[in-house]
Amino acid sequence: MYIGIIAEGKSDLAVIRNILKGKIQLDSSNMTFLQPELDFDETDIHNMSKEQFSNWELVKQACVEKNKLVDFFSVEEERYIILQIDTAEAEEINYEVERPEKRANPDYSRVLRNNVIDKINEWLENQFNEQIFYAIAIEETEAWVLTIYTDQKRDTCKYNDPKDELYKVLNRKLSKKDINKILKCDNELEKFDKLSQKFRRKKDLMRYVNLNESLKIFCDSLIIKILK
Amino acid sequence: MLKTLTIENYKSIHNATIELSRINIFIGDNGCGKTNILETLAMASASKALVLDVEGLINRGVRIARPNLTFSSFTGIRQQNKIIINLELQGNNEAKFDIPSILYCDDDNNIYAVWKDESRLYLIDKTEIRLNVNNEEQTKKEPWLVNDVKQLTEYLIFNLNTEALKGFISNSKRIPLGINGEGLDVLLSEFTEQEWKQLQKYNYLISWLEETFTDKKDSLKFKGYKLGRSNSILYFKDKFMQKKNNVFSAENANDGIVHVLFYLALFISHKTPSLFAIDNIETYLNPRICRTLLKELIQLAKENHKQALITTHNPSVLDGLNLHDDEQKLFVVSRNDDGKTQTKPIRLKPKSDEKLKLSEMWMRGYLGGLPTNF
Repeated sequence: MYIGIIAEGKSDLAVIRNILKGKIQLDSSNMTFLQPELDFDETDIHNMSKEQFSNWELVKQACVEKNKLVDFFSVEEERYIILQIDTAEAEEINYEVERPEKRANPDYSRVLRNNVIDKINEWLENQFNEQIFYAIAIEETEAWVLTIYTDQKRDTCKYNDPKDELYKVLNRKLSKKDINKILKCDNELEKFDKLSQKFRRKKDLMRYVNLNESLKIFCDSLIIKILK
Repeated sequence: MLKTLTIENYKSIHNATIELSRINIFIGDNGCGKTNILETLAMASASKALVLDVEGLINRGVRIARPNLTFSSFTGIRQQNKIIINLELQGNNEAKFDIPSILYCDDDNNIYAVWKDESRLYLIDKTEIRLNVNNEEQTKKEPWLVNDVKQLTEYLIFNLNTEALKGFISNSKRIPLGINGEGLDVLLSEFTEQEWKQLQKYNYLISWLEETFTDKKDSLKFKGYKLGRSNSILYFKDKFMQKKNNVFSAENANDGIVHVLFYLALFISHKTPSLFAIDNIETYLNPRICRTLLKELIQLAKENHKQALITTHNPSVLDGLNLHDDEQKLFVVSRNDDGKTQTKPIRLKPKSDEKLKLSEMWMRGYLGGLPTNF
């Protein structure tokens, strides 16, 4: 089995890689990052902004154009693609996913996830369904990572700004040495690989998924499709 | 022909089985173990040629280290002190035969140690091989099998060096061609008319090349064509220069031409090995030449019964491959999370809407074989 990952940014890639290791014991050599910058050379990149390589629009573009998926699936092998997208910008123009009422709604994550999946399938014109996993992070992948560090028992998607909360918790919990070594690391892939490395252990991952329903649903979906 | 290579406990290769074809291209990250794969065949070759000493291995292109650095070493796994290599040979009539090598040393800490082979199968002469089965000596005389084992004993890994190709240095004593490209001029000077004809067909690969020739008497060096620091008697004629003054020596030639010529000579000559490896075939070559050269070499391999294992870091080499031809194979080599080398053949679906070249598929990450840590 070989899995390609299309994600908003490198931090998301790193987190998903660790989740795949923990949940289905997939070796890193059986995953590939379908990074947008590999489609461009440095001359092209010179004229592009950093944001053009790290947002939901990249994921949408890959879905709408479909070439990336067609080319990736042209290899004779059991292959899947993971599409990762956050819901934080769900209301933005061209994303336009309906967000259910969040407060006191136990189905919030599930309903929002399904709405995003419907939107992705619309972009994909309902193609490739059997070969795609949807990594819908509610509201951001940082909320998934926060499950490792938080002391709270509530779903980490409930924070208004999970990214901000994650850094607050990390600054409190990490040693000075680790703050310098991990948090100040310029390489987002390396930083989030280290921050989320506890996901690599199945036992730990099983515990963390209980603190974020969107993470749990994603992990469960991996098993359901692979067993099928 | 060598059909299957099985390796256990060699450097980064803990355990691997590789189903080979006539032309086999290996791609992967730097340090993923591509050359280690080529080396295992060199170890088996040296064993069956009864030259398992340091010189026998160096002559085949093996990078020598202490035996305990040659056995696989992985965290949490007890190191084993035997390398197991099995080669499955297949004749034209589908007959198969296994050639095992179980290699060990008496002193695992001695870099100069002579390796030994428990399997006791070796080539006696051009007509028979001898093997020991259940403590009984047996001989095999089937021509295809003896020929395949003989070819195995001649195997080596070419890793070209411009200085050697141009005759400035001569480190490898293998004949007719040394592992760094030594002896190219002499091999060409021994070419038959037919071989020259075949070679000239590929002059089109080098835009300025009018003709290649050898100066057997080495007299041109006295006429100012070279300083004579190199021993090469190889010369070229440039099609753009004035006819009366268009000759120049390999000593003064560009690096690409000698590389192209070497590969063509290797695949054309019947004096060169039938089974060999080329490490980094792309060195010094323009991307378009890489693509077309590979395509032509594949054709020559079919015509002249050559089998090759080739590594490359240049995506354009892949564009010379036709993966719908069973005689051409592409392997992605990688190291898993434990550091163990693994290989995976790449096959494309017979009917697919993909519109990318293999080179682009590799560069975009669809094949693997790229670093993933940045």
